[in-house]
Amino acid sequence: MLNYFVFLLCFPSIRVPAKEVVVVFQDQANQPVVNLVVRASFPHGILTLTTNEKGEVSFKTRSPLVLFDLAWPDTNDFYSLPETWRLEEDRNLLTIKIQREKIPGSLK
Amino acid sequence: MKRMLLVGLLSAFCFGQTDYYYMIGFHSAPRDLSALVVNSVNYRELPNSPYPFQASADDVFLSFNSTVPTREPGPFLYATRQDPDQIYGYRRLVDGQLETLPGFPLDLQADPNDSYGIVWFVKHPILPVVYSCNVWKDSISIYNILEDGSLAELEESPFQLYPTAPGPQGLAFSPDGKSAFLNTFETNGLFSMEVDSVTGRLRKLQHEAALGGDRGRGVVLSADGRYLYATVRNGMQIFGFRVDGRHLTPLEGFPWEPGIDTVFLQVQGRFMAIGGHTIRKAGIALIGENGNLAFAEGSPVAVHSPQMVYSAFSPRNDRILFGGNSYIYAFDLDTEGRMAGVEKSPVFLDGIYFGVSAAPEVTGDPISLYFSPRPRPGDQNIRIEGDPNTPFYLQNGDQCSGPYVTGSEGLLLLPTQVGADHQLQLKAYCDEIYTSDVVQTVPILSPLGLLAFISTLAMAGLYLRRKKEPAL
Repeated sequence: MLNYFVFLLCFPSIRVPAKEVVVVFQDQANQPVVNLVVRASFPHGILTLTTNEKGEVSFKTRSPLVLFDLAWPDTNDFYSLPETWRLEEDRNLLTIKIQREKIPGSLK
Repeated sequence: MKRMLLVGLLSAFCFGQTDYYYMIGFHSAPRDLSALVVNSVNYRELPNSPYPFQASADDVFLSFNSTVPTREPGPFLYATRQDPDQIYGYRRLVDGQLETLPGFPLDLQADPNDSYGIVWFVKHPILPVVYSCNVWKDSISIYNILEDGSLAELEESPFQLYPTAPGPQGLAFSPDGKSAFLNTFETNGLFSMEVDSVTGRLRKLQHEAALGGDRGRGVVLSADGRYLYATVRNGMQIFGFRVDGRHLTPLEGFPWEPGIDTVFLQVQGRFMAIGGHTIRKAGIALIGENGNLAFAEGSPVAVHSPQMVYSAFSPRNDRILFGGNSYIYAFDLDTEGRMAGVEKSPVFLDGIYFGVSAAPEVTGDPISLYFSPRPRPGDQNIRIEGDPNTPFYLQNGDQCSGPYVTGSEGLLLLPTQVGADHQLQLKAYCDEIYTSDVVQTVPILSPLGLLAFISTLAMAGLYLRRKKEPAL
C-alpha cells in the first residue's frame, strides 16, 4: 500500500482535456503539403483526414499521444512518421516537416 | 402480414442453424446498433433493426467499440461507446432481435471531462463477469452480470502502480479463466494478471514481454490456451508466444507486412482471423500444433475497404463476417479455413464512412432456441433447448401461446402433442392478430367443358322445341 502511494506521488496520472488541435504539414521549403491523407492513430481509435490548402488538419482529442501515417490520395501505402507526438496541454498547434520523396505515390 | 412472413422466415431458420451478428454502425444518421442474419446463401438486416444506440457524434473518427453477447446468466448483449463513455444493455430475443434492458445505458463518466475511453470490452470465459479496458483512466472496470441483465460494478482496477500509464488496450483470458493477459498502448508490452476464480477480480499485474513496433493493439489466446498472439502498430508481424502459466516464451513471428496498424485478431478453434487498417486485406491463418501460424489456402483475400476492423466467427466455424469502412463481408469457411464469399457479399453502405464494430462473438445456435418441429410419434412433450431463462412464444397454426420460459439449464419440456400437419414456430412476441384468409373460389370451365355445356343446352332446346310441336 505504501508503494502504491509513493508511486502515485511520483508518477501522477496526467489527464489532458479534450481540445482542438491543428497540425500543419509543410515540406522542406516551408510550403504547405495539400491533399495529403493523414491518419492519426490514438489509443482509443483512428482518424483519417485530408490536409486543406493550408496543409492543415484539425481534430479534437483527449489523447496526449498521437501517431501519424501519411499517404497521397488513391494510394494504399502509408508512410509512418517515426515520431510519437505528445500533445502537451499548452499546445494546440503542431507543425510537422515532411519530405515528399518519402511519401509513397509522390510525383516528385 | 408482412411481419408475419418475416417471423415465419426467421422461424424457419431456427429449425436449422441461424447466426445473428450484431454491429455498431457509424453511417449516416441515425448512428445505431444493427443486427444481421446470415444463412447459407444470403444475408440481410433483421426487421426492427437498428436498435437504440447513440454512437459517436463524429462520423470520421473510428473509435474502438465492442458488442459482447452473453449466455450466462441470460441472453444479453452489451455494446460500448466512447465520449461519453456508456454501456448499452439489451436482452437478445429468440428471433435475434433486441430489447433494451431497463437502467441502460450505463454512464461511466460522472464528470464529462473525465473520460474512460472504453477500447475493449470482454466477458470472462466462465464467470458472469465483464471487463472494460479504460484507456484514458489506465484502469479496467469489472462488472457482475446480474440475473436481470443489469451490471453491478465490482471494482475498478487501477494501473497507476506503473511509472508510465500502460493504456490498457486488448484483454484476453486463458480458457480456464484463471489468468488474463493485457496488451498496452502506452508501454508497448504484455502484462499478465491473476484472476480470482470466484469473483473475477484481477490481481498481481506484472510485465511479461516487450513487443517491437510502437504501440500495442490486439491480443488473443489459442483455444487451448497454450499460445498467445499480439499485434502492435508498425510491428509488421504477429507476435507469438508459448504460454507457461503466466510466463511467455517468444515464438517465431508471423509476417503481416501490409498491415501498418493490425488492430484485430480473433481466434476460434484453430482459425485466426486477421485484419487491420490501410491493408485492404483480410484473412484466415491456421494455428499449428507448435503454435506457429500459416495462412489458409487463398488467404488473405483482397477487400474493398481499407479498414477491416473487426471480425466474427459463426459458432460452428463455418462462416466469418469482416466489418470495416463502408463494407461488410461474409465468407463461408471450409474445414481448412478456405474462404468463399456469401452471395450478395459485401454489403456496401452508402459510401459514407462506416466504422463498424461487429460482434467479436456471434450469437446463434445454441443461443437460438432449437427444437424439432415435428416430434416423434408418441412423444408427449416438445423439447425446447436454448439460453437459460429465456421467454418465448409458440405459434401453432393460427394459435399463438405463451409466454414460456426455459429453465436455468436452458431446457423446457412442454406437454403438448402436435399434429403431423402442424408446424411450430418460435417467436419473441405474440403481437399480431392472426386471421385465416378465406379465399372464395369461382369455378371456371375449361374450353371442352364449355363446349359440352353449350351442346347440352342446345340439345335441351331442341328437345323442348320438338315437344312443343303438335303431333302430325
